[in-house]
Amino acid sequence: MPKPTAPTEHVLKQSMTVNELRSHLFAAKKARRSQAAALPILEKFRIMEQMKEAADPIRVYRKRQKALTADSPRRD
Amino acid sequence: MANTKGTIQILNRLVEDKVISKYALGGAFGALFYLEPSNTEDIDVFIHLHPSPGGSLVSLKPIFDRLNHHGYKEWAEDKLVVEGWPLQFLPAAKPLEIEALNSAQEHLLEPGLKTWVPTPEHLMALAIDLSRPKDKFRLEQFYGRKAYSPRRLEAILKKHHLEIKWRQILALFEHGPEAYS
Repeated sequence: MPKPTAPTEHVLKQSMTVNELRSHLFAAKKARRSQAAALPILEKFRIMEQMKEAADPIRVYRKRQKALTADSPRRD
Repeated sequence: MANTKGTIQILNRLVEDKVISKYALGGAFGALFYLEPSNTEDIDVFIHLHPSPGGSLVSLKPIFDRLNHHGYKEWAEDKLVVEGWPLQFLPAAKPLEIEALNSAQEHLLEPGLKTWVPTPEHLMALAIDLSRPKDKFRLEQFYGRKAYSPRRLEAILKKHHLEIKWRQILALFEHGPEAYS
């Protein structure tokens, strides 16, 4: 079984077993959460404020998580 | 839009004005210092509340009066809204809460702005004590990220008789709901 890594479009297009795919997705989720936890505290404040204001706070959070693990280098 | 830094500045002002002696951010905001952001509607603030001289009753009224004086008059249910965040003041009453508040760590947010947050182990112990679904979710985050010292947590849990509760929750994380049966 391939070592779980953060998923990319490439990974999602590969053929793999259900378990392998789940493994990749789980690893990606874990990586996103770790990155979010490591953000500077004032950045976390901003995310909390945005989530509070948003009609759909989960969507805002997921969007932010996705941005954190985009394939391209972070711009900030 | 809520302004968290502004809320903290006002809390610090309550300390400077000696309306409260000390505070510590709990709940989702306390956990934020160790974990990823999570959705919340308010900010939990642990405080020491002392009876007035000669009395035995405590009241949050002096805090609300001072906040009113600073122009904060909007309420969200039973919480006064300060810079967009409803504040839930929680007078530390249980020994665990008092210990969490007394040992809260100072965090410098930016030059000139600091706040106080319980240690991750105390936040976990408080969550174990309450054990609501949202507390278990937060505990799972602490556990999954290993964002705490197991040795320090064990010592706190032992002191406050929470070890059995924690073992039950741990079993849930490690073996799923079947572990309870």
